[in-house]
Amino acid sequence: MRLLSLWLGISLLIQTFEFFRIQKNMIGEGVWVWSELRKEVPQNMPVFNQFLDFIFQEKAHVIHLCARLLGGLCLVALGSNMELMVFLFLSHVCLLFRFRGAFNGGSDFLSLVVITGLLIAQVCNFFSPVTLGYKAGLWYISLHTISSYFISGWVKLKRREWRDGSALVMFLDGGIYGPLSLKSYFRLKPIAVLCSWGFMVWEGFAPFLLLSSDMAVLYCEIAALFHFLVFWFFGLNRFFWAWCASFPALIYCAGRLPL
Amino acid sequence: MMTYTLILLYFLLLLTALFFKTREIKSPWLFYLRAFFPNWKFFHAIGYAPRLYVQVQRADGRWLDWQVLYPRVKRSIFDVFHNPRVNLHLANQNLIEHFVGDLNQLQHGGDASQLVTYSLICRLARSFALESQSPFKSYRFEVRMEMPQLNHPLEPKDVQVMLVSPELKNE
Repeated sequence: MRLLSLWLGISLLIQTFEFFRIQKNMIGEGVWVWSELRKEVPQNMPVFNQFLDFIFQEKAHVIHLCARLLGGLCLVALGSNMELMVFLFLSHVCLLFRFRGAFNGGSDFLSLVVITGLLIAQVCNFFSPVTLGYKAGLWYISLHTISSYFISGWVKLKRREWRDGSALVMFLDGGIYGPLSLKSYFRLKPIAVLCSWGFMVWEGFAPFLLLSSDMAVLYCEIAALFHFLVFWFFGLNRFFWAWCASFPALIYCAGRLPL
Repeated sequence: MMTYTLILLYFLLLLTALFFKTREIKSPWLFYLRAFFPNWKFFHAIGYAPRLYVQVQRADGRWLDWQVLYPRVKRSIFDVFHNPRVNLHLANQNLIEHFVGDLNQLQHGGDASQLVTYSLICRLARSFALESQSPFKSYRFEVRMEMPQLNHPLEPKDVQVMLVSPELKNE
Protein backbone atom coordinates (compact mmCIF):
# COMPACT_ATOMS: atom_id res chain seq x y z
CA MET A 1 0.00 0.00 0.00
CA ARG A 2 2.86 2.33 0.85
CA LEU A 3 4.54 1.75 -2.50
CA LEU A 4 1.25 2.25 -4.31
CA SER A 5 0.67 5.60 -2.55
CA LEU A 6 4.23 6.65 -3.37
CA TRP A 7 3.90 5.93 -7.11
CA LEU A 8 0.44 7.46 -7.30
CA GLY A 9 1.68 10.55 -5.47
CA ILE A 10 4.56 10.96 -7.94
CA SER A 11 2.19 10.45 -10.87
CA LEU A 12 -0.26 13.06 -9.56
CA LEU A 13 2.53 15.55 -8.83
CA ILE A 14 3.79 15.22 -12.42
CA GLN A 15 0.27 15.70 -13.78
CA THR A 16 -0.40 18.71 -11.56
CA PHE A 17 2.86 20.49 -12.44
CA GLU A 18 1.91 20.04 -16.09
CA PHE A 19 -1.54 21.54 -15.46
CA PHE A 20 0.17 24.59 -13.98
CA ARG A 21 2.30 24.98 -17.10
CA ILE A 22 -0.65 24.88 -19.49
CA GLN A 23 -2.66 27.45 -17.51
CA LYS A 24 -2.38 30.11 -20.22
CA ASN A 25 -4.11 27.78 -22.67
CA MET A 26 -7.09 27.62 -20.34
CA ILE A 27 -7.78 31.36 -20.08
CA GLY A 28 -8.25 34.41 -22.33
CA GLU A 29 -7.33 33.59 -25.93
CA GLY A 30 -6.48 29.96 -25.10
CA VAL A 31 -8.30 26.95 -26.54
CA TRP A 32 -9.54 25.31 -23.33
CA VAL A 33 -11.44 28.23 -21.79
CA TRP A 34 -14.18 27.34 -19.35
CA SER A 35 -16.62 29.93 -20.79
CA GLU A 36 -16.83 27.76 -23.95
CA LEU A 37 -16.55 24.35 -22.32
CA ARG A 38 -19.28 25.00 -19.77
CA LYS A 39 -21.92 25.30 -22.53
CA GLU A 40 -21.61 21.59 -23.14
CA VAL A 41 -21.97 20.40 -19.54
CA PRO A 42 -25.51 19.16 -18.84
CA GLN A 43 -27.35 21.97 -17.07
CA ASN A 44 -29.86 19.87 -15.17
CA MET A 45 -28.03 20.05 -11.83
CA PRO A 46 -27.80 23.80 -11.09
CA VAL A 47 -25.89 23.43 -7.82
CA PHE A 48 -23.29 21.23 -9.44
CA ASN A 49 -23.02 23.61 -12.41
CA GLN A 50 -22.53 26.55 -10.06
CA PHE A 51 -19.86 24.59 -8.23
CA LEU A 52 -18.03 23.91 -11.51
CA ASP A 53 -18.28 27.59 -12.49
CA PHE A 54 -16.80 28.50 -9.12
CA ILE A 55 -13.97 26.00 -9.07
CA PHE A 56 -12.91 26.74 -12.64
CA GLN A 57 -12.51 30.46 -12.13
CA GLU A 58 -8.89 31.33 -12.73
CA LYS A 59 -7.96 31.95 -9.09
CA ALA A 60 -9.98 29.05 -7.70
CA HIS A 61 -8.40 26.73 -10.26
CA VAL A 62 -4.91 27.76 -9.17
CA ILE A 63 -5.85 27.18 -5.52
CA HIS A 64 -7.31 23.80 -6.48
CA LEU A 65 -4.07 22.84 -8.25
CA CYS A 66 -2.01 24.00 -5.23
CA ALA A 67 -4.17 21.85 -2.94
CA ARG A 68 -3.72 18.96 -5.34
CA LEU A 69 0.06 19.43 -5.23
CA LEU A 70 -0.08 19.36 -1.47
CA GLY A 71 -2.27 16.24 -1.63
CA GLY A 72 0.27 14.56 -3.92
CA LEU A 73 3.09 15.44 -1.55
CA CYS A 74 1.15 14.06 1.45
CA LEU A 75 0.53 10.85 -0.48
CA VAL A 76 4.25 10.52 -1.19
CA ALA A 77 5.37 11.40 2.34
CA LEU A 78 2.65 9.96 4.56
CA GLY A 79 0.64 7.47 2.53
CA SER A 80 -3.11 7.46 2.05
CA ASN A 81 -5.90 8.27 4.47
CA MET A 82 -9.64 8.75 4.10
CA GLU A 83 -9.72 12.57 3.85
CA LEU A 84 -6.85 12.70 1.39
CA MET A 85 -8.33 10.06 -0.90
CA VAL A 86 -11.77 11.70 -0.88
CA PHE A 87 -10.13 15.01 -1.85
CA LEU A 88 -7.97 13.47 -4.60
CA PHE A 89 -10.96 11.55 -5.98
CA LEU A 90 -13.14 14.67 -6.18
CA SER A 91 -10.28 16.75 -7.53
CA HIS A 92 -9.64 14.19 -10.28
CA VAL A 93 -13.32 14.08 -11.25
CA CYS A 94 -13.40 17.90 -11.40
CA LEU A 95 -10.41 17.93 -13.72
CA LEU A 96 -12.17 15.40 -15.95
CA PHE A 97 -15.06 17.86 -16.29
CA ARG A 98 -12.61 20.67 -17.03
CA PHE A 99 -11.31 18.80 -20.09
CA ARG A 100 -14.51 17.26 -21.52
CA GLY A 101 -14.06 13.95 -19.70
CA ALA A 102 -10.32 13.45 -20.14
CA PHE A 103 -7.17 15.47 -20.70
CA ASN A 104 -4.81 12.65 -21.53
CA GLY A 105 -7.16 9.68 -22.12
CA GLY A 106 -5.89 6.39 -20.70
CA SER A 107 -3.60 7.93 -18.09
CA ASP A 108 -6.53 9.88 -16.62
CA PHE A 109 -8.58 6.70 -16.59
CA LEU A 110 -5.96 4.59 -14.86
CA SER A 111 -5.12 7.34 -12.38
CA LEU A 112 -8.80 7.40 -11.48
CA VAL A 113 -8.74 3.60 -11.07
CA VAL A 114 -5.79 3.77 -8.66
CA ILE A 115 -7.29 6.69 -6.72
CA THR A 116 -10.63 4.83 -6.52
CA GLY A 117 -8.83 1.66 -5.37
CA LEU A 118 -7.18 3.54 -2.52
CA LEU A 119 -10.49 5.20 -1.68
CA ILE A 120 -12.23 1.79 -1.61
CA ALA A 121 -9.52 0.57 0.77
CA GLN A 122 -10.08 3.51 3.11
CA VAL A 123 -13.89 3.25 3.03
CA CYS A 124 -13.84 -0.53 3.60
CA ASN A 125 -11.35 -0.11 6.46
CA PHE A 126 -13.81 2.21 8.10
CA PHE A 127 -16.41 -0.55 8.33
CA SER A 128 -14.37 -3.76 8.52
CA PRO A 129 -10.97 -5.19 9.51
CA VAL A 130 -8.04 -3.30 7.98
CA THR A 131 -6.73 -6.06 5.70
CA LEU A 132 -10.08 -6.65 4.02
CA GLY A 133 -10.28 -3.03 2.84
CA TYR A 134 -6.76 -3.09 1.46
CA LYS A 135 -7.45 -6.35 -0.33
CA ALA A 136 -10.62 -4.96 -1.91
CA GLY A 137 -8.80 -1.83 -3.13
CA LEU A 138 -5.81 -3.72 -4.47
CA TRP A 139 -7.99 -6.24 -6.30
CA TYR A 140 -10.04 -3.41 -7.82
CA ILE A 141 -6.84 -1.84 -9.20
CA SER A 142 -5.45 -5.19 -10.36
CA LEU A 143 -8.54 -6.25 -12.26
CA HIS A 144 -8.77 -2.92 -14.05
CA THR A 145 -5.06 -2.88 -14.91
CA ILE A 146 -5.06 -6.46 -16.19
CA SER A 147 -8.22 -5.69 -18.18
CA SER A 148 -6.45 -2.71 -19.76
CA TYR A 149 -3.67 -4.94 -21.11
CA PHE A 150 -6.02 -7.79 -21.96
CA ILE A 151 -8.46 -5.67 -23.99
CA SER A 152 -5.71 -3.66 -25.63
CA GLY A 153 -3.99 -6.89 -26.73
CA TRP A 154 -7.08 -8.67 -28.04
CA VAL A 155 -8.48 -5.71 -30.00
CA LYS A 156 -5.15 -5.63 -31.84
CA LEU A 157 -5.10 -9.40 -32.38
CA LYS A 158 -8.44 -9.04 -34.17
CA ARG A 159 -7.00 -6.62 -36.74
CA ARG A 160 -5.19 -7.84 -39.87
CA GLU A 161 -3.02 -4.70 -39.99
CA TRP A 162 -1.66 -5.52 -36.53
CA ARG A 163 -1.13 -9.18 -37.33
CA ASP A 164 0.93 -8.35 -40.45
CA GLY A 165 2.96 -5.65 -38.63
CA SER A 166 1.87 -2.72 -40.81
CA ALA A 167 -0.16 -1.00 -38.05
CA LEU A 168 2.92 -0.75 -35.82
CA VAL A 169 4.89 1.09 -38.52
CA MET A 170 1.97 3.40 -39.39
CA PHE A 171 1.33 4.33 -35.76
CA LEU A 172 5.04 4.95 -35.16
CA ASP A 173 5.11 7.15 -38.28
CA GLY A 174 2.29 9.22 -36.78
CA GLY A 175 4.10 9.73 -33.46
CA ILE A 176 4.51 13.21 -32.04
CA TYR A 177 8.29 13.08 -32.33
CA GLY A 178 8.07 12.66 -36.08
CA PRO A 179 7.96 9.70 -38.42
CA LEU A 180 10.44 6.83 -38.16
CA SER A 181 13.56 7.27 -40.24
CA LEU A 182 13.38 5.57 -43.62
CA LYS A 183 16.16 3.23 -42.49
CA SER A 184 14.47 2.31 -39.19
CA TYR A 185 14.58 -1.40 -38.30
CA PHE A 186 10.85 -1.23 -37.57
CA ARG A 187 10.26 -0.85 -41.32
CA LEU A 188 11.65 -4.35 -41.89
CA LYS A 189 8.63 -6.59 -42.11
CA PRO A 190 9.97 -9.51 -39.98
CA ILE A 191 10.89 -7.11 -37.17
CA ALA A 192 7.54 -5.28 -37.37
CA VAL A 193 5.66 -8.61 -37.28
CA LEU A 194 7.76 -9.92 -34.40
CA CYS A 195 7.32 -6.74 -32.33
CA SER A 196 3.58 -6.57 -33.04
CA TRP A 197 3.00 -10.19 -32.08
CA GLY A 198 5.27 -9.84 -29.07
CA PHE A 199 3.23 -6.93 -27.71
CA MET A 200 -0.16 -8.42 -28.63
CA VAL A 201 0.54 -11.79 -27.01
CA TRP A 202 2.16 -10.17 -23.98
CA GLU A 203 -0.85 -7.87 -23.50
CA GLY A 204 -3.52 -10.42 -24.38
CA PHE A 205 -2.24 -12.98 -21.88
CA ALA A 206 -1.95 -10.52 -18.99
CA PRO A 207 -4.39 -12.47 -16.73
CA PHE A 208 -1.77 -15.23 -16.41
CA LEU A 209 0.39 -12.92 -14.30
CA LEU A 210 -2.00 -13.66 -11.45
CA LEU A 211 -0.64 -17.21 -11.24
CA SER A 212 2.56 -16.28 -9.40
CA SER A 213 4.18 -13.23 -7.89
CA ASP A 214 7.46 -13.98 -9.73
CA MET A 215 5.56 -13.91 -12.99
CA ALA A 216 3.89 -10.66 -11.97
CA VAL A 217 7.26 -9.03 -11.17
CA LEU A 218 8.61 -10.07 -14.57
CA TYR A 219 5.41 -8.86 -16.25
CA CYS A 220 5.66 -5.48 -14.54
CA GLU A 221 9.33 -5.09 -15.53
CA ILE A 222 8.43 -5.70 -19.17
CA ALA A 223 5.42 -3.38 -18.75
CA ALA A 224 7.65 -0.58 -17.44
CA LEU A 225 9.87 -0.96 -20.52
CA PHE A 226 6.79 -1.07 -22.76
CA HIS A 227 5.34 2.13 -21.27
CA PHE A 228 8.72 3.82 -21.51
CA LEU A 229 8.81 2.97 -25.24
CA VAL A 230 5.28 4.34 -25.59
CA PHE A 231 6.54 7.56 -24.01
CA TRP A 232 9.65 7.54 -26.22
CA PHE A 233 7.69 7.26 -29.46
CA PHE A 234 4.39 8.95 -28.62
CA GLY A 235 5.29 11.35 -25.80
CA LEU A 236 2.84 9.74 -23.39
CA ASN A 237 4.82 10.30 -20.19
CA ARG A 238 1.69 10.27 -18.02
CA PHE A 239 0.89 6.72 -19.15
CA PHE A 240 4.26 5.57 -17.87
CA TRP A 241 3.68 6.92 -14.35
CA ALA A 242 -0.01 6.03 -14.17
CA TRP A 243 0.61 2.38 -15.04
CA CYS A 244 3.71 2.13 -12.81
CA ALA A 245 1.46 3.27 -9.94
CA SER A 246 -0.70 0.18 -10.44
CA PHE A 247 2.16 -2.36 -10.41
CA PRO A 248 2.37 -2.78 -6.60
CA ALA A 249 -1.28 -3.89 -6.66
CA LEU A 250 -0.57 -6.46 -9.42
CA ILE A 251 2.41 -7.87 -7.54
CA TYR A 252 0.41 -8.04 -4.31
CA CYS A 253 -2.54 -9.87 -5.87
CA ALA A 254 -0.51 -12.31 -7.97
CA GLY A 255 -0.17 -15.72 -6.38
CA ARG A 256 -2.66 -14.88 -3.64
CA LEU A 257 -5.74 -16.38 -5.19
CA PRO A 258 -7.40 -18.76 -2.73
CA LEU A 259 -7.71 -22.26 -4.16
CA MET B 1 -11.13 -22.64 -6.91
CA MET B 2 -14.26 -20.50 -6.89
CA THR B 3 -12.18 -17.28 -7.19
CA TYR B 4 -10.20 -18.70 -10.13
CA THR B 5 -13.46 -19.60 -11.87
CA LEU B 6 -14.93 -16.15 -11.33
CA ILE B 7 -11.81 -14.43 -12.68
CA LEU B 8 -11.73 -16.78 -15.66
CA LEU B 9 -15.40 -16.05 -16.35
CA TYR B 10 -14.76 -12.31 -16.13
CA PHE B 11 -12.01 -12.40 -18.75
CA LEU B 12 -14.03 -14.74 -20.98
CA LEU B 13 -16.90 -12.28 -20.80
CA LEU B 14 -14.58 -9.42 -21.74
CA LEU B 15 -13.25 -11.45 -24.67
CA THR B 16 -16.74 -12.33 -25.87
CA ALA B 17 -17.77 -8.67 -25.70
CA LEU B 18 -14.82 -7.76 -27.93
CA PHE B 19 -16.03 -10.05 -30.70
CA PHE B 20 -19.61 -8.83 -30.74
CA LYS B 21 -20.79 -5.36 -31.57
CA THR B 22 -22.72 -4.00 -28.65
CA ARG B 23 -25.13 -1.09 -28.59
CA GLU B 24 -23.46 2.23 -27.83
CA ILE B 25 -25.02 4.04 -24.91
CA LYS B 26 -24.93 7.80 -25.36
CA SER B 27 -25.47 10.36 -22.66
CA PRO B 28 -23.74 13.67 -21.93
CA TRP B 29 -23.09 12.58 -18.33
CA LEU B 30 -21.56 9.30 -19.49
CA PHE B 31 -19.34 11.26 -21.87
CA TYR B 32 -18.01 13.36 -19.00
CA LEU B 33 -17.68 10.39 -16.68
CA ARG B 34 -16.30 7.94 -19.26
CA ALA B 35 -13.15 7.56 -17.13
CA PHE B 36 -15.28 5.34 -14.88
CA PHE B 37 -15.98 3.00 -17.82
CA PRO B 38 -12.73 2.96 -19.80
CA ASN B 39 -12.69 0.89 -22.99
CA TRP B 40 -8.87 0.45 -22.99
CA LYS B 41 -8.66 0.36 -26.78
CA PHE B 42 -5.38 2.04 -27.63
CA PHE B 43 -3.93 2.36 -31.14
CA HIS B 44 -6.13 -0.48 -32.26
CA ALA B 45 -7.16 0.36 -35.83
CA ILE B 46 -5.68 2.07 -38.84
CA GLY B 47 -8.15 4.28 -40.66
CA TYR B 48 -8.80 7.82 -41.80
CA ALA B 49 -7.17 10.19 -39.33
CA PRO B 50 -8.48 13.74 -38.92
CA ARG B 51 -6.05 16.60 -39.53
CA LEU B 52 -6.69 20.30 -39.09
CA TYR B 53 -5.34 22.58 -41.81
CA VAL B 54 -5.19 26.33 -41.30
CA GLN B 55 -4.73 29.11 -43.85
CA VAL B 56 -3.82 32.59 -42.67
CA GLN B 57 -4.39 35.92 -44.44
CA ARG B 58 -1.63 38.40 -43.75
CA ALA B 59 -2.35 42.03 -42.85
CA ASP B 60 -1.55 42.99 -46.50
CA GLY B 61 -4.36 40.71 -47.72
CA ARG B 62 -2.20 37.89 -49.12
CA TRP B 63 -3.24 34.34 -48.16
CA LEU B 64 -0.42 32.07 -47.01
CA ASP B 65 -0.27 28.36 -47.88
CA TRP B 66 -2.41 25.86 -46.00
CA GLN B 67 -0.52 24.43 -43.07
CA VAL B 68 -1.31 21.29 -41.17
CA LEU B 69 -1.69 21.67 -37.45
CA TYR B 70 -0.13 18.38 -36.49
CA PRO B 71 2.45 18.54 -33.74
CA ARG B 72 5.93 17.26 -34.40
CA VAL B 73 8.29 18.18 -31.57
CA LYS B 74 11.85 17.40 -30.52
CA ARG B 75 12.27 14.55 -28.06
CA SER B 76 14.06 14.74 -24.72
CA ILE B 77 14.51 12.01 -22.12
CA PHE B 78 13.57 14.51 -19.39
CA ASP B 79 10.10 14.81 -20.91
CA VAL B 80 9.24 11.65 -19.00
CA PHE B 81 9.08 13.83 -15.87
CA HIS B 82 7.53 16.95 -17.31
CA ASN B 83 5.93 17.12 -20.73
CA PRO B 84 3.19 19.79 -20.70
CA ARG B 85 3.69 20.95 -24.29
CA VAL B 86 3.32 17.49 -25.79
CA ASN B 87 0.36 16.62 -23.56
CA LEU B 88 -1.37 19.82 -24.63
CA HIS B 89 -0.71 19.01 -28.30
CA LEU B 90 -2.15 15.53 -27.75
CA ALA B 91 -5.22 16.99 -26.04
CA ASN B 92 -5.69 19.36 -28.99
CA GLN B 93 -5.38 16.49 -31.46
CA ASN B 94 -7.92 14.58 -29.39
CA LEU B 95 -10.22 17.60 -29.62
CA ILE B 96 -10.00 17.47 -33.43
CA GLU B 97 -11.02 13.80 -33.29
CA HIS B 98 -13.96 14.62 -31.03
CA PHE B 99 -14.99 17.42 -33.39
CA VAL B 100 -15.07 14.92 -36.27
CA GLY B 101 -17.15 12.61 -34.07
CA ASP B 102 -19.58 15.48 -33.39
CA LEU B 103 -19.77 16.29 -37.11
CA ASN B 104 -20.59 12.67 -37.90
CA GLN B 105 -23.43 12.75 -35.40
CA LEU B 106 -24.82 16.02 -36.65
CA GLN B 107 -28.27 15.70 -38.20
CA HIS B 108 -28.43 16.27 -41.96
CA GLY B 109 -28.45 20.06 -42.51
CA GLY B 110 -27.36 20.70 -38.92
CA ASP B 111 -25.24 23.75 -38.20
CA ALA B 112 -21.69 22.75 -37.23
CA SER B 113 -20.95 26.24 -35.94
CA GLN B 114 -23.36 25.62 -33.06
CA LEU B 115 -21.12 22.87 -31.69
CA VAL B 116 -18.93 23.65 -28.70
CA THR B 117 -16.16 21.65 -30.36
CA TYR B 118 -16.45 23.99 -33.39
CA SER B 119 -15.80 27.03 -31.16
CA LEU B 120 -12.84 25.27 -29.59
CA ILE B 121 -11.44 24.34 -33.02
CA CYS B 122 -11.81 28.01 -34.10
CA ARG B 123 -9.77 28.99 -31.06
CA LEU B 124 -7.19 26.33 -31.86
CA ALA B 125 -6.89 27.52 -35.48
CA ARG B 126 -6.68 31.12 -34.32
CA SER B 127 -3.93 30.39 -31.80
CA PHE B 128 -2.01 28.65 -34.59
CA ALA B 129 -2.53 31.66 -36.85
CA LEU B 130 -1.28 33.99 -34.10
CA GLU B 131 1.85 31.89 -33.66
CA SER B 132 2.63 31.63 -37.36
CA GLN B 133 1.74 35.15 -38.56
CA SER B 134 1.25 38.17 -36.40
CA PRO B 135 -0.48 40.47 -37.14
CA PHE B 136 -2.93 38.74 -39.45
CA LYS B 137 -6.21 39.78 -40.99
CA SER B 138 -8.23 36.57 -41.04
CA TYR B 139 -7.95 32.80 -41.16
CA ARG B 140 -9.87 29.73 -42.20
CA PHE B 141 -9.53 26.05 -41.52
CA GLU B 142 -10.28 22.71 -43.07
CA VAL B 143 -10.75 19.34 -41.48
CA ARG B 144 -9.30 16.68 -43.76
CA MET B 145 -9.49 12.94 -43.23
CA GLU B 146 -6.23 11.32 -44.26
CA MET B 147 -5.60 7.63 -44.80
CA PRO B 148 -1.96 6.88 -43.93
CA GLN B 149 0.24 4.96 -46.30
CA LEU B 150 2.70 2.31 -45.17
CA ASN B 151 6.31 3.56 -45.33
CA HIS B 152 5.27 6.92 -46.83
CA PRO B 153 4.58 8.93 -43.68
CA LEU B 154 4.29 12.27 -45.45
CA GLU B 155 2.07 11.16 -48.33
CA PRO B 156 -1.39 9.97 -47.30
CA LYS B 157 -2.97 7.29 -49.50
CA ASP B 158 -6.25 9.20 -49.68
CA VAL B 159 -7.57 12.56 -48.46
CA GLN B 160 -11.19 13.58 -47.95
CA VAL B 161 -12.14 17.14 -47.00
CA MET B 162 -14.74 16.93 -44.28
CA LEU B 163 -15.38 20.57 -43.45
CA VAL B 164 -14.25 23.97 -44.73
CA SER B 165 -14.80 26.91 -42.44
CA PRO B 166 -15.80 30.35 -43.71
CA GLU B 167 -13.24 33.13 -43.53
CA LEU B 168 -12.91 34.09 -39.87
CA LYS B 169 -11.83 37.60 -39.00
CA ASN B 170 -9.11 38.17 -36.43
CA GLU B 171 -11.15 39.90 -33.77
